[in-house]
Amino acid sequence: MGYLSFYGVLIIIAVIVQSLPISYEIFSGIHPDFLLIISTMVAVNYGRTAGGVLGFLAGLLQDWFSGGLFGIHAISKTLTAYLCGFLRENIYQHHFLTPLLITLFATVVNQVLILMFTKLLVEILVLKEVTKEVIVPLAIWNSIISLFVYPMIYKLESILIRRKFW
Amino acid sequence: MLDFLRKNHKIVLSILLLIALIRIVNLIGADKDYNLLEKIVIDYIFRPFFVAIDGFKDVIGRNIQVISNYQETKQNNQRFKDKIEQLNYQLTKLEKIKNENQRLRKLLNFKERVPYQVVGASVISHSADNWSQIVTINRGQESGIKAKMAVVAEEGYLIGIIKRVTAHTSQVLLLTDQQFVTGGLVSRNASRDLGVVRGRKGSNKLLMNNLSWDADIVSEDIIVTSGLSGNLPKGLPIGEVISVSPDNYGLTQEAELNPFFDLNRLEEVLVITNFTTKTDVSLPPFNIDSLLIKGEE
Repeated sequence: MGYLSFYGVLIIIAVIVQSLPISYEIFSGIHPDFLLIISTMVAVNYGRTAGGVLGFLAGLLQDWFSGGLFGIHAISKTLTAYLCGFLRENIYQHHFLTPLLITLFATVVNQVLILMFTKLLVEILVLKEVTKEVIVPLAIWNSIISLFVYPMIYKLESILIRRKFW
Repeated sequence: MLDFLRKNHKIVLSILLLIALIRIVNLIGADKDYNLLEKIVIDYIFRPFFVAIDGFKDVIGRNIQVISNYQETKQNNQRFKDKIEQLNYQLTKLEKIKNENQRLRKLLNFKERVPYQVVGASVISHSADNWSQIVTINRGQESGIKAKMAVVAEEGYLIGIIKRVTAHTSQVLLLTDQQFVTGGLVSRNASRDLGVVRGRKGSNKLLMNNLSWDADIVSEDIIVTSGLSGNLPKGLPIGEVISVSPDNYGLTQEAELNPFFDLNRLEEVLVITNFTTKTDVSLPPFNIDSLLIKGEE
């Protein structure tokens, strides 16, 4: 229950932060995907099922605060986090570059999934343009942010465990 | 004589010193000016000592004062720093209020110019992803806002339409979102051709297509809402044409538009909640120059 509340609060904070106009200004016209960073982190630490569930909830929340096709983020985040869950046993989690590489991979997969759904259903997007304008800068920003977010969440978790929050 | 002096040298010396002292006192009290010798002695022998001693006394005095008042000086310093920070904060706040005031004045100008019922709102958040161009405003159903209502910025530039509404907030689908579609009209008396204006992903430009092959549309034409859908009033400025090209193998034409307003800088907007008139607001003398400058920004 403690884990659920902790990550519940975390994704609510994340969606608020990434919706703020200031966040858009700070990251030069890109909304960093804090929700994806948290979902992949959970998938890597607690397994693909936990990651998938959190990815779904986070994506659903993002769909409420975004335009476009409703449910697209819920599906893409579930799939991405579930996929990252498979990496759990094949990576060394405590290397400082792990968050960066995992997030880079997850961002590209997530954006490609969105692009696939959007391309199939809307057929307006131009691949080259969106790669240059959205996918590449977003992957870079997400990876950089993950270097700070991962240790921060680890620290918070350890404090809460010490205080017997769960 | 010498024996006398040797025996009483202390007394003699004391008397001489006394005489000298009396002489000096007389000199100070005398009205007459110094003679040359006195001037030399005072200027070149005593003065440097006096100056040095006086300077030393000043330095010591100041330092002692600083040391004794250190706490007070420190407090004063902190107080001044706080005051400067407070004044800087107030200055920034005033600058912000001034800008807001200017924007609100422009919104008010539009409100007074057109016979629409409008509701003012502030932008509280942007889209949570990078694939849609939406903003959330702080007014909803309780303020009379419904889906598909037009949203305009200062001077009446169309910026989007209401997409979803809650009791206290509304989502605005911006012009540049790929889902945005509305009817556009060339705002030139000689033309008045119709087309469909839509947003384009990955670009801040708009696309106007489905223009007839012989449509009279050229660069720098102003495109306004056609009002044919019934959801938007006629004549709200959408953008300026920057290029025209043939489409569908020459069967139709398409134009690229530059919106008048930088949609990343939205802070206050007006939602048009009711427009009963069919008046074309673009027809009164529209300041094209100001629009062009806005567009270039």
